[in-house]
Amino acid sequence: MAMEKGLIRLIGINRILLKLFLTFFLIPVIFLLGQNSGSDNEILSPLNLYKFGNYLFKQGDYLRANNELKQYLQYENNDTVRFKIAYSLIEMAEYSEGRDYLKPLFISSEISDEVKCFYFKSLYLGKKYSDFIEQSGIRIFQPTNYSEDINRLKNFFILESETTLIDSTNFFKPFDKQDADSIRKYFVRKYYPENKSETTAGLLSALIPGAGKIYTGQTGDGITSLIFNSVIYYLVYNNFANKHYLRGWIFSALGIYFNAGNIYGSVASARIYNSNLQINLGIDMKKFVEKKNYFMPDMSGILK
Amino acid sequence: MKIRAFIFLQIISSIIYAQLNLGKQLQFANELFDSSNYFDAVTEYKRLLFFDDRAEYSWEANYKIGLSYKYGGFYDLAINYLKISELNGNTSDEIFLSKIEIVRCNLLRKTIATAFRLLDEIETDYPTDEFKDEINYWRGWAFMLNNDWENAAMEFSKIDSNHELKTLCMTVEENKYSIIFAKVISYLLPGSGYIYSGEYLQGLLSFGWNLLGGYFTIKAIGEQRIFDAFVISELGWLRFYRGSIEGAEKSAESKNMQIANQAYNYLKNKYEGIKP
Repeated sequence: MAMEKGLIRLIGINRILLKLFLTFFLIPVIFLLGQNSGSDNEILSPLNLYKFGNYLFKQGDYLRANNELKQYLQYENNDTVRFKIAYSLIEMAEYSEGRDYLKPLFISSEISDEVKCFYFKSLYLGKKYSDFIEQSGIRIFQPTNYSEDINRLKNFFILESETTLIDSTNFFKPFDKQDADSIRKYFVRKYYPENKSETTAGLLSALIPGAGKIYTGQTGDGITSLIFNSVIYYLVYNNFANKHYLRGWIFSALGIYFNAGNIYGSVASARIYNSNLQINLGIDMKKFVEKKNYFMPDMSGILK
Repeated sequence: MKIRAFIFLQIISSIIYAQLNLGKQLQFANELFDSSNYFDAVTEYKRLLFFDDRAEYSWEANYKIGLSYKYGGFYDLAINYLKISELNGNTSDEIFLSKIEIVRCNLLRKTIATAFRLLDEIETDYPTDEFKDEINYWRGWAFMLNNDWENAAMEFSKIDSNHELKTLCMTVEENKYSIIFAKVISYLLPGSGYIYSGEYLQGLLSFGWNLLGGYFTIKAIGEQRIFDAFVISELGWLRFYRGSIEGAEKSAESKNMQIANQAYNYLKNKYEGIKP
């Protein structure tokens, strides 16, 4: 009541005028204001763009999250948002564009250390080996608090990429004991693989059909070849012994054909065995580094 | 007192216009959806869901997101959103629509067994005649995509004895070769299964090889060369004999697949009714 009186005094008119004022002016104006504030502008306000973008980001809908967060960046420069955009791009394998979003955060950003770590992760994921090695030696790229994490990823990347034997003197130092043991095993598997000799496989099969395949671990195939060739050789012997020369020669040709195939198959089997060793090593190393989250520090605080 | 009324009106107006705002958002998303701009439509429906605190548009937005993903070929995602829409359905019709769309997505991603199971569930939940035709229609489609044309024809005949798809299914069923018959006659006369399925040259060749294998085997037995007879029959004759039976089966299957593919092509390109 006191407010009402105050309002009357303020306007300086009587109650009827106030009623008229409320009915024909103030309430419609407020309705219109409400309409304006409830228009598209509200849903697409910068704050709402951020909220919606963040919601999509958490859902893992990175493409749409990026669109929203990029629009938000047009209104307000925010390092965390920029980082989230980079994160989304890298999740979508757009490594180069992702790095472009990370670079401006290297200097004078509160999260520059995490950004730099993530930058190196993107280089690793993008298979940019020479860039990784080169930039990890440049001071501006080095994270102050996480240099050891980058060293771990660097050494792992070297082990994955280098074809020539690497110096192992200080190679395992950045890793803790458990990781060092695992990486040492990968090192041995890479540089001292238990390859099967193609020549040995071929020679073994030439001497005893199927032996080459047994040597390369194809025991079932090897035994089948041995039985099959033995039957053919018996038929050759039996036909010649019974003076069925034509059939003897036909079975001889068949025997030679199958034996040659068996020798070739054993050589191929050794080659496949060796290449499988490298493929399996690659798969195991990929699983390992994924499990270790690419030796990255905890970034859950930034990605909230 | 008037000030209170004034504040009350202000609150009411903001609520009304907030809803109008979401209504506009829905309209915008629907426009994108109707113009087949499914990617942006999904974004705008998701935005609507995000700001729709009272879950007023939950069914429609989730349903349309599901449809957008379906039209984009992302059937798993489509099913996820359609399931959410099903859970948020306000009326039994809305729930029915969501369930049927899930069935259609299952047909498109070839998880036919799931489609059958879902249709059985829908039939139990919606036993009235109003829904029967649609359930039978999609069950018919499930049978067609499962290559079971006879049962498909039965389902379509429940809707209409002269249903276009019933006629199509009957035609396919009549044109198909019997795989069992092809195998049985190949047991009796090698090569005849091939000939039955229209592979005349293959049939004659198979018959010739079997004849030759049989001749050499019998000749070896006649000359008391039992080991030779065993080897020739095992490595030669029986290989061709078994080959003729398996070949006849594969040939009939292949021909049946061609016939089914012609029907699928018709359904894809020429059939004007509702498709999954």
